[in-house]
Amino acid sequence: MRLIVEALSVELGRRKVLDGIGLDLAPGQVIGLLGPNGAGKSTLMRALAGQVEAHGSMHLGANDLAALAPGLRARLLAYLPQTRTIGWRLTVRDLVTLGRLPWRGFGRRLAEEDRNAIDRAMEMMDIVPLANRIATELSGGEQVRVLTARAVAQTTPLLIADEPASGLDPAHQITMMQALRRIAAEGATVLVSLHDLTLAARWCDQVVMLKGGSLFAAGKPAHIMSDDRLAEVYGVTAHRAKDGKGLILTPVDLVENRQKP
Amino acid sequence: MKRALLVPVLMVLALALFVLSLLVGPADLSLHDSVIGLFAGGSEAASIIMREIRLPRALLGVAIGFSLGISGAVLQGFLRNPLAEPGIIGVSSTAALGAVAIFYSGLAGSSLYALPAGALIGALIAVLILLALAARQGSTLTLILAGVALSSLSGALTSLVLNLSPNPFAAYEIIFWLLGSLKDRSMEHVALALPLMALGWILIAFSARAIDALSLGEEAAASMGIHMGRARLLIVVGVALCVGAATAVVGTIGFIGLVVPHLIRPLTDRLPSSLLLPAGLGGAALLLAADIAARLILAAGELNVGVLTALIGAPFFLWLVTRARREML
Amino acid sequence: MRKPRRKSVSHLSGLMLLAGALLAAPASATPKRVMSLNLCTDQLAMTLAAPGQLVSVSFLAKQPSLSMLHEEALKYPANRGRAEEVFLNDPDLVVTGTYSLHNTTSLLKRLGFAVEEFSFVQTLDTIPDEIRRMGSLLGQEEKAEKIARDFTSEIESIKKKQCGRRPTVIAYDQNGIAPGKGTLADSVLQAAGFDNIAADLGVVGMAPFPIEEVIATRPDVIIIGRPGETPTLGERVPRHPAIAALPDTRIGSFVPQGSWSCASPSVIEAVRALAKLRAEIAPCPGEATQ
Repeated sequence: MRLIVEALSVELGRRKVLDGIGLDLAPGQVIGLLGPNGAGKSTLMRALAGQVEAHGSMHLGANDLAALAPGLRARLLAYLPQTRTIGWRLTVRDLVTLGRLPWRGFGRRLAEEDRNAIDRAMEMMDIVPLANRIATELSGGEQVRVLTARAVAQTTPLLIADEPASGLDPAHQITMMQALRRIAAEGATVLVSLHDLTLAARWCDQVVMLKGGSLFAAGKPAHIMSDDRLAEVYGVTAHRAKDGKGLILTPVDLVENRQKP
Repeated sequence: MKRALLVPVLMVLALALFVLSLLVGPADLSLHDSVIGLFAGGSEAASIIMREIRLPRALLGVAIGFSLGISGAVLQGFLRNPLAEPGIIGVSSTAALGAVAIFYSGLAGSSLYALPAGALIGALIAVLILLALAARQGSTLTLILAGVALSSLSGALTSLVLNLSPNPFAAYEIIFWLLGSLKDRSMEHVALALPLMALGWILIAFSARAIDALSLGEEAAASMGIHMGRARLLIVVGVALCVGAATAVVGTIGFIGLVVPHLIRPLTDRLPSSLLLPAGLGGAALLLAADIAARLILAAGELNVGVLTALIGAPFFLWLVTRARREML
Repeated sequence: MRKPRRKSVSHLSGLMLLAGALLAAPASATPKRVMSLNLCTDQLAMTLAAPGQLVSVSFLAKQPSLSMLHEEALKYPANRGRAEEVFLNDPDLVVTGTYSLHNTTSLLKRLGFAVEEFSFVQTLDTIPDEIRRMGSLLGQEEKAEKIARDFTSEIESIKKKQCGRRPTVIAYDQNGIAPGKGTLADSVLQAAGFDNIAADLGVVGMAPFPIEEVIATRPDVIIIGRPGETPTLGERVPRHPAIAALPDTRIGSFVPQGSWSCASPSVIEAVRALAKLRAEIAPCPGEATQ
């Protein structure tokens, strides 16, 4: 389903954290949300997920996200918050199973469909071998994959994940991005915030750059992630290379240092 | 133990203790007389003792133990905090204060309905204060400190109200309110408290999905379709009904909601919802057992059951707080 | 279990009584300002004191549920048994109970007040001597002697009317407490011609008595206290549905309010009322049945 956001603004206290954001995201794509700390990435995601009060309009297909009842919204939109809370010593599989809550009636047992969704999500996040481990005893990176699997198991047309790749080892950063691509390939819209420029450049179909709570640029990574924009948004210079699959971008220095001599 | 067996085993245990509770008392009734008395009715001494004295006591033991166990389990799930318990966080003592304030003032005449009315108001106020303080921050320390403040304040005010009562005998009842007892309750008390507690159980059962989802924090829970406002309301009113009605008829009985969920959690999949029914049944078994012991320990007279639960619960609580929080989850 | 302790208590109080009497003897001058700090000394003092002699009684004396002379007590300023109140009133005699205000009593003695203590272990038999002792302390020996003699002779005449048909009874009060052996209430019940079940089952002093045993023993009469002006949970215990379910038991307050809470001349009212009840439910041959 197509996600259309118009004139979205969020105020926290008296401060305007997001100002007039407009987005038009086609289904079947992974969209990377970029921007420095405090640019409003998490706030944008929380606004879409209905966690903060926002002005403006947010539509997923024909559904007005702001007007949906929580139960219905949870069948359209899955959200991985940035705060990773695991309250009890749940097994990995039981934790992922929580993702099926929006689809299960009160006290209903797991249906075949639920089990398939759970299996697939665990396989995608490469956590099948951890199935019976206690989630609170896993490493931070493993926990991120388990929590992401929970959101994936929700099988929604829109998946919003706040920094799902941070804290992961290099191999699992790639597993994560591959999994997100597979979800997108099945028709979902996947919105992820990322700090790794290379991951964004190589794995995302589109990137959206925020700066100071406003939309700075949006489009294909190769167009958007220019030296000038990286300098203006992040204040860094990046080493740039290219292979058959796409761009490789590594931040090397701060802009102010380059301009001095 | 196989998880599927947990609930049946606890049910059998609670049932066995229920029967045992019916057989324990100062009147020396044979098993035969007890059974005949219980089922036959009439004005024989055995029948009056079984039906008017021991049956209500055992019924209250089951229902109140269940209420305290399930209240502890749901509060722990909701606050993601294994130390949350109606007694420790001051809900029970505030309920007692409410009951005492309305009953002993004579505002409602000598009507027993003053007790649950006052206790429910007290419990409701306490739960609201605690959730306002603790649910946002989620810190164990905040919750426990707020509970300590509430408990000591309401304990002191309870004593004050009883001391100020124009009836000189009221002051003797401080002990009952601080360390509850199931002694000499009647079917009136069962009729008074059971419907309220049953309503509380239902409300708590409806919060099962919410407390499961809350295992992953409020934001994740909300994104999984949990209506946080509704969940909070269910739990606040459910716990207030359970703890308020229980305290109104037997005074403050602490630690059951702490000890039971903690002992039973490792036997479940640790999802808060899977703990609700077993914690209720375990609570019923523990209170029945403590109440039986309270009648047997002293040859003459009996102990207040609140003393026994505190003797079991307080060391347990200390042991819990000295362990790292992560380990206890 | 309780038996030996109670016994030693009553021995001790007997000694104290004796000591008190010996000490009181040399106090020749009649006290002009007497202050009573205890419900039971209140009753004796109000009965015996000359007009103006008694300057204060305890606040409990004004409670209708505890004090037969509660109306009389309204004439006197009330005290709560505090040493400062005594100091301000500056009485030349303080009368109080042995145990109720132990700290206050020793403090007052240290401050040089004349303090006379009355034992709280009392029965019908001790009452005449208590009356005489208070009479001699207040310089009202003649009045006391007459009241004591009337009291004794009325008890005698009530006992004479009995023929050995003794209904069973329990006095069941707040929180299921029942008076057993050695209590004033037990001696009243005995004198009125009843068998006190609690005493028969070995209760000594005031002790909790299980409802189950009340039911199991099915007494002919259960005497329950009157409800206070504001409710307590304890007063519901004698009103437990199990007790109400006893088919052949008479349940009621029966004794005039406040009449037997203290060993005072007004206890006779309780004996009279109960003797009448006994004659009604177990009449002796020749006794008129109304």
